[in-house]
Amino acid sequence: MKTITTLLFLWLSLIGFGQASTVDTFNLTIKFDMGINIDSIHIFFYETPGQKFNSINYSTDKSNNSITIFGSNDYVIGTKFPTLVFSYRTLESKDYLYTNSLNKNNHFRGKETIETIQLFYLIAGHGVGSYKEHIPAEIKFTLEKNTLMITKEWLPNATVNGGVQAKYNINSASTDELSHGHRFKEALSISNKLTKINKR
Amino acid sequence: MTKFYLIIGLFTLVYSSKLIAQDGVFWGHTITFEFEKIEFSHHNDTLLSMDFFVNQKTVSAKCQSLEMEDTKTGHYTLSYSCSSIGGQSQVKTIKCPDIYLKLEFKRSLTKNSVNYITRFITFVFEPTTGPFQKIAVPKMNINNLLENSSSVVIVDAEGKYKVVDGESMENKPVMYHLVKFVKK
Repeated sequence: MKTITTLLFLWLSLIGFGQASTVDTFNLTIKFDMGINIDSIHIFFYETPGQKFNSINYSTDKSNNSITIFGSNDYVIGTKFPTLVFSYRTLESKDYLYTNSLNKNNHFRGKETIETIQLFYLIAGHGVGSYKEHIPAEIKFTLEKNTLMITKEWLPNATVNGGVQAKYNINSASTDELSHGHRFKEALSISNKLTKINKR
Repeated sequence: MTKFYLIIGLFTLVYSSKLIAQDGVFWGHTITFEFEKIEFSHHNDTLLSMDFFVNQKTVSAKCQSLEMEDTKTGHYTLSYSCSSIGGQSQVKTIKCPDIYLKLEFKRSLTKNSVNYITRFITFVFEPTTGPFQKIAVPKMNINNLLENSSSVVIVDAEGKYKVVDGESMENKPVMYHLVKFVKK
């Protein structure tokens, strides 16, 4: 009987595997350049394997043009917090002067509304499974620097650093840098499935 | 007086050697898409909108008149035209910028809970010959593209397409600055 039980456990150990997971609450404030109207921003997250939101919402603060994202996520240790996508929609009305091809003297005016979407990406780097700790550095998007990556660096001796266990670094990139095979692009998933985050 | 004309003539000759003439270059594409009816994987899904966008960052010149026509259900004709100064006056090969089909869904989870999901289908085009070409993409099943969230459609000059995994592409198409095709 003992042999059978041992063999059964041995066989189970071959097909089974365990993954450590945890639940964290997060609170992250992102500032936007004053020229960007935060009321015209919709926020999404890319669905990421090993990451599940129990809740996720955002609030805005017009006084400093910032958005705070908060909630709780259940994640497998080692997976990265999903990339947050900020979709900034603008509408621009343009006037056109058309010329009749048969009669060059016959002009008429036209109006066209051009809708554009500028996308801002907030990427979690290695070791950032959630944003549970306060990030002391300012996270700020501008029209030029529209991609930010937050990386985490573990500090060797937390007692010396007043209990601070990790240091966060914020790196930015412009679209031009990204279009030339920037390292951020490697970290940026191209998943086409975006779930909208609701405002609270 | 002759000496004056000679100086003027020499000055013009020297100066003309430094001048560069540049031609205006014009090009565009007309792309037709045909899609099969979308079958929702969740019975509580509702399609809210379906729009086409161009990734403006992949266009280095001034492009305008981005227009979309949907004469029949599931049939879409997109057109755009661009212009720039400089380069060759005769455009030989030209690449249509990446086009994104944006689908917005509403998913009812419970009576009071709703999720809004946005899907972007990426179309990457191979270069075509000539400045104003028509690309007719054969009928396509969007449902298959929605199954894999990193699907990218690569369309050749004749309109034939293949679906690849975008994550494994050498130059991943990333959305930066999208401009919507205006419905005619």
